Amino acid sequence: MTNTSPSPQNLFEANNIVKRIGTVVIADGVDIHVPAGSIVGMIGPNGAGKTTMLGIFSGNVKANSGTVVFKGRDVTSVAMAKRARLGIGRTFQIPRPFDKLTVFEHTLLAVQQSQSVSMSEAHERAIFALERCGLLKLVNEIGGDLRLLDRKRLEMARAVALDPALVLLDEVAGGLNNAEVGQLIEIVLSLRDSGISFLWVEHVIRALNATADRIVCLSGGHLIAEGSPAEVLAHPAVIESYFGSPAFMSTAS
Amino acid sequence: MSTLEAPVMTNRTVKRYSRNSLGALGIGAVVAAVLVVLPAFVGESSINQLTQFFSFLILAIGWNVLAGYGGMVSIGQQAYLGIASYAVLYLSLHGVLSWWAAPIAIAFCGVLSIPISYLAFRLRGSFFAIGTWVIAEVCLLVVAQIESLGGGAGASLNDLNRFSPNTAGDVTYWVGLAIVLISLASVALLLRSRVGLALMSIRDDELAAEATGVNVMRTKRIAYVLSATICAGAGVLLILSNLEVQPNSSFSVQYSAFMIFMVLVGGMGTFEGPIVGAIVFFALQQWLAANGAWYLIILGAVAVAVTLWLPRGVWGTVDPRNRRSLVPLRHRVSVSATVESGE
Repeated sequence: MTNTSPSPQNLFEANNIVKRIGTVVIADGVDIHVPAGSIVGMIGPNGAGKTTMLGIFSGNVKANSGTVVFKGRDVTSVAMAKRARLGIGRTFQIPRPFDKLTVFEHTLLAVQQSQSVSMSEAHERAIFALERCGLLKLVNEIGGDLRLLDRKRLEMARAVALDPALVLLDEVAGGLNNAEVGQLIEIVLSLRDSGISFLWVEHVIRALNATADRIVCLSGGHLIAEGSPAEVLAHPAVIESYFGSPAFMSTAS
Repeated sequence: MSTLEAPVMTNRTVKRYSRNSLGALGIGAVVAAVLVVLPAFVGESSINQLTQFFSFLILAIGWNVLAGYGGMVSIGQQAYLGIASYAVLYLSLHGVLSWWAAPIAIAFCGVLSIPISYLAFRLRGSFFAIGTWVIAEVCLLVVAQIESLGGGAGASLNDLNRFSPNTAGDVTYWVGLAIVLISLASVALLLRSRVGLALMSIRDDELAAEATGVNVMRTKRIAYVLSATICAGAGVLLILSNLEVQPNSSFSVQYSAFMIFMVLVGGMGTFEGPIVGAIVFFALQQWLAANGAWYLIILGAVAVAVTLWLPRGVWGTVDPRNRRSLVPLRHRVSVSATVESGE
């Protein structure tokens, strides 16, 4: 039943994940794989447990059962900080900047924790991560002073500075306007081209449509659809479950 | 700063020094030098008062590392103050000259704080605060049971009596000055290191720090041990200057109130804050010492006023974004020439 042997083409595998919170079933035997160099989108109705799943993948939430394999290594019982140092970066849905540290110090911290390099090289890498995420102009600002778009960029930059193989994105496009979503898409694509894979939980379908190689839809503890963006977004079960039945649509704001 | 190898066009340098900080280091060195030779020029009572001031300053420095930079509000640091005092007493009763006992007692507290941290770190937030207080009270009750150290009545430190009061006072003053300087230097070194940056990130957001790869428990423990060691320095200085100890006063929670007062008034989480706070506290104490109960009433009123109108404390108000810091602890990146223009 549980197949924990790592397949070499997958950078990241979550196998047969089971997670219950009280009586709510978040996942009832879910498998999610991220091939190296790809962007996998995860959608699902509010409350389906997408953020909880990212917690299981990043290591701050414990699953009831199942295994998490990264780069062929079983990291199921590895703590979040260690997973970050191994190369799993993550962002938070509600940005969590360090309120009193400068933008530069955010990425410097990530470099210092994950890579043993000289001080000048650490400085270079920290600045480079900011540059890739469009934050160079704010390098000396204080994290707590940033506005929403910049906070989201800072979440990305901090994860990217870990020199990760995989970044878990949690609704980084939420709350941004059209132009800002466009900038974000460009940043993610350029990071992907440089070799970073993504697992991206997002409600802004446009962002996933433009970037994802594959989309999975989590609902009621199962992946009810899986495939290319076009396939998944046209899937009847997805339309029913994620976008709501016509009756639900008419009452939802 | 060094040759650029990364694929970047512009010239960026990361600075940790500013004109401010270099000037301040110079002034600090002059002040330290003056303090070293001061006993040759001023009377014994002034020297003793300065020693008293040093012990409060050390407490403020120790508490600020823990609460201001580590986000761990303890009201039990007097545990290390009391244990260090008693360690000096114990060593002097066993033939070690008290001044030499000082570093041993401080090191002992540092080591002791490691197992205690495993106990205290099981609690968080306000529970951590109460837990540390309980640990300090347990230390008090245990020490008060030890008859050879005077039990509940306390004991006096006699081995310095063979020196003239002048000599004893001066040497103790120098010991205190050394502890102050070593404390300030070790805090500055910690904060400049990668552990210091990790510590501040935990204070600001523990979960985000973990997601950035920070080993939270290890980093907090380093700060806790350093804080305990520094607070032990104050305990050593108090017994060397008072020449007596008594469990109820050495382990008094009042010291925690003083530490919190000094750090809040001076500016929590700033390097300069504890120094400013200790000066304010000591000035108030000297000014009001004759007025009995009014002393504590006014101290309380000052604390309330600062919390309401200067919530960042004196130094935190002067320098809210840590840009004018007199000690180079933070990073500033200067991007020279033109970076890409526009959005």
